[in-house]
Amino acid sequence: MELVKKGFKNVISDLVLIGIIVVSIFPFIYMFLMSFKSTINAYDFDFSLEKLSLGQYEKIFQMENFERYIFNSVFVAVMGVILTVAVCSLAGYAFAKMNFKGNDKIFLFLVMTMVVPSEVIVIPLFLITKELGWLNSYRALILPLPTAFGVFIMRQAILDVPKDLMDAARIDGCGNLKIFFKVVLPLVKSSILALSIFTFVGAWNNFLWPLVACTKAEMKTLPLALSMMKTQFNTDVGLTMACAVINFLPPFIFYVFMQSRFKEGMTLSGVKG
Amino acid sequence: MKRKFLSALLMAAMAVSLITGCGNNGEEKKEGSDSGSGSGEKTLEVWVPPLDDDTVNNWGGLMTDWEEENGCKVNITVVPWDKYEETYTTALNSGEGPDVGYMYNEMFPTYIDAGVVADMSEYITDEDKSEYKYLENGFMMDGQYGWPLVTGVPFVLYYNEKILEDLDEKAPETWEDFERICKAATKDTDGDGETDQFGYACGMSTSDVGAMQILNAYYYSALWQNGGQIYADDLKSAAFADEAGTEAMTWIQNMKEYMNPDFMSMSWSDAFANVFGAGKAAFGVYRSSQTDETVFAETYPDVKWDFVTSLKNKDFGTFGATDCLTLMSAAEDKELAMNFIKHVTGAEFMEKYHAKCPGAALTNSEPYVGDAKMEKIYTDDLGKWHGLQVGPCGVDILTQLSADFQGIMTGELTVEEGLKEAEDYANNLLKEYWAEKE
Amino acid sequence: MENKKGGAGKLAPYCYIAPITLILVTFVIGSVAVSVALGFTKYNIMTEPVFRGIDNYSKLMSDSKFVKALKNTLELMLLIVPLQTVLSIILSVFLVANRKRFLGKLANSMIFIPVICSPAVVGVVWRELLNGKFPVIEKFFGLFGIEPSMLLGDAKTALITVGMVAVWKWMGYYVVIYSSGLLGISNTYYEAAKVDGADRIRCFFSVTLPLLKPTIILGVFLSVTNSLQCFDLIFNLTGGGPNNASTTLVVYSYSKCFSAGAAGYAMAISNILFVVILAVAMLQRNMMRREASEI
Repeated sequence: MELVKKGFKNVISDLVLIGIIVVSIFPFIYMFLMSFKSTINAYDFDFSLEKLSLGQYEKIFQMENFERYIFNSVFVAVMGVILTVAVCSLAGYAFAKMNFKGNDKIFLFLVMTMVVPSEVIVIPLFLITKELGWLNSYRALILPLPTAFGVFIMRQAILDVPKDLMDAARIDGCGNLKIFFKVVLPLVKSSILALSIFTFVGAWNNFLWPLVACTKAEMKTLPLALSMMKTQFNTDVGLTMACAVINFLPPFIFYVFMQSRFKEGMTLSGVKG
Repeated sequence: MKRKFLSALLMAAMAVSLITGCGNNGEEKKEGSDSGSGSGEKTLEVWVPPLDDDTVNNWGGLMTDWEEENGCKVNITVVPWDKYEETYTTALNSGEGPDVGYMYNEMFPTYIDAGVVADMSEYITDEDKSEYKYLENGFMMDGQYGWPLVTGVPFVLYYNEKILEDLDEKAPETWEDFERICKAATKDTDGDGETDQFGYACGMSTSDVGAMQILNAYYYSALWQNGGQIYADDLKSAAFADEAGTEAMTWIQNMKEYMNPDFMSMSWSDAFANVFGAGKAAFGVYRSSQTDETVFAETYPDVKWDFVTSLKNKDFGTFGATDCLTLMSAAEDKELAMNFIKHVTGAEFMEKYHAKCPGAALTNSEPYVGDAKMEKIYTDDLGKWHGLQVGPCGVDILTQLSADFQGIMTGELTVEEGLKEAEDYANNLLKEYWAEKE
Repeated sequence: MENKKGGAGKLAPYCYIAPITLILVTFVIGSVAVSVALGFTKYNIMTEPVFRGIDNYSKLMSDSKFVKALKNTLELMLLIVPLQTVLSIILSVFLVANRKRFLGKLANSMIFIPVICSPAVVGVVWRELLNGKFPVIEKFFGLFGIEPSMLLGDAKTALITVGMVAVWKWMGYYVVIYSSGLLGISNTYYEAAKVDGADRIRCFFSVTLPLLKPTIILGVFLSVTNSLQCFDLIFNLTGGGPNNASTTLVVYSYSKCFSAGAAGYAMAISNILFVVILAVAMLQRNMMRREASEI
């Protein structure tokens, strides 16, 4: 009897889980399927094999300088990740494990910068970048990427690192920086991975900022380049969807790659109850 | 091992931030060598939106002769339609703007006022006047600020021949015809109790297509056909809420019952494709192209269609956009830039380009190469469509009007309320604008 | 804490936080400062700004579109935040309970996929889905008596639909946050509750929720800021329409800035938005403080 009950419960939760999966990915399946359609205008939902074509993708891959755009996007996103992880974990370490004047206040001040919407500060950001003389450079694209959220995550994670471990290392003669590298970082790996994913995705999906910050063709990122294919009265759903797929794949691959390093799904160590 | 990897990453990061922070990386040098490579040779920066899906090659590929002739390199940058104005305003701010730009009608006032686009009047010869057909469409706010490049593709009214035949109707000419046919066409054809055929296929969502589009497609034609206009002649007040304007708006609103019920969710082009294109409506509005006969045969093989350029109530009228090349004030060699503008809009160049990507002829010497069915737009019906009256605060006023138009169509506002709101908004802006000019 | 080595040691923490502080102060705080300054000017981006005092702000007072946008912004927040919080907590509890099973692991990964996708693409895809007459979708919504293609076009439902898509898109993000919180709750609490004879529902309300409180505070804070910043999604779903029914302050400020050439006015709008967000954040401040001291 117990067994039957348990089996029944499992079936129910399996159904719910399948429901969650379907709802989460259905729009992407639709996007993927539609991208193989080359019908201009009319929607038609005939997905039999002969009606599908790779035409849209061929068009995209034939784009001149395609590799350059991919490189720019990947370079900016990866550098953004490295920079963010570096500066955020350093700051998180300081905020979590060091006593200094204004610790709490500075931290709160930084966290407050999270509330500023990026779209409305594009013009001020542009003016600042112009004054710094950084327009049309990778600096302009990479340096504004780290956010206070990163600091927050890293601080929370590092707070959890047991003091004993650090003390032991200190007795062994390790300095702050060495403790940071040898003891702290390995223990907060899951948060670093999660932060990397967040940052990569954010950097990749940036559209407005790279557009405004870089006018030179050789600095364009992939989303920008894809939008250059869209004519004003474009009604080709297939092409729109193919561009969306191409745009979506790299962060997706990055996510899958990173995700495979989590043992039990992505978590932020330390965001505890 | 992993720890080493992580610390290596961190070190690399710091190195990068140091390098970038100290302000001298490879990029700068490259930029320098870029401009240096063409020493002695002039370059002309040209910005255009995606004119087709491979603009740089299709358009730019035809430049070689001209480049050699003038000892000049043409640098074409494609500016995506998404965030188009964002790119221009910021680039003009930082002095990174082009020598020759591309703008649509509504964009101009802001740029003219800012003094960043130049008046081309002095460069126009009598020859040009007789050769270039649409030059006057680029004349706005007392100057030749635009040189028409893409025009001749007005929004026209397509009709489904089969539906009209079944109703024993001919192509509509007047508002009465149109209304009568719409009414008769809106019905349940398969007897399941749900209306599945509509009079007028409409789409009034403004999502990513922009607020102006619903005015382009549905509003201006009604307004102009009823003898109304957006601005008063002196551009000092709004005229769209006068008697003619109110009547026109009321008329469109009355058409609502013959429209596909989800008209407010779709964009105008989606509505044409999904409702008219699926044979489910008697009428649809679309931006015409001279290759429609060929293209539609492929995309809507089951729809038997024809079109009227414009209905007539008090007058004819429908919107045909004029997108122009502009001479930017920042251009160093204006003669050269003008030479370029005239070249690319000229017959020789355009014939070659239109062979690859069809479009309407801009000059008298370029022959008509489109489908026979569409030719009347450029002959008999040439007077039935025109561009927009360009006036100050254009985008602002029209955006508000477009929102109120939506409000009227959803029934949230009455015609009078909606027009009043838009008129007040427009007049306030205009009052302020002219007060500052004086 | 143990840094008593003198001057160098005291300075060390500041060196650690210097890079990020520098970045945030330059780009974010700097931008806000520029925005505040430009809020007092008439500025079209291309030519020099002209000082106008509080002109922009007094105009705002009588701008009906601004009032509507402010109202929509707050409505959207009130719609997204509770729904997002409740749903993601429930989902997290469920997913954590099933985390050892194959489907559970799969669901845990899949739910994050919408987060990866750019909001602009999410907007386009959902618009196409809702309007595209896709049979499966039509049937699904038909179950609830909803015609999907009417959702974005009706002034009454447009904002709600935008809110729903936003909740859907960010669900994975909050599930990660709440799951982390849940996993941090030690099992001993549950065992103790079980000994006291509490059933699962009781357990949830008397053990899980109280212990999850700091995480919830964080989640709500993030949800509030995210909902107020929602832009690309709205832009691609409705463009702010119909009749500005889904225009929020960010959307309004943005369109004023770029299409209407009134950047000064746009900055004034965003400055008001900053004040709104700050006010909301301040409401949470005490709780944030307490959370900080709890750890």
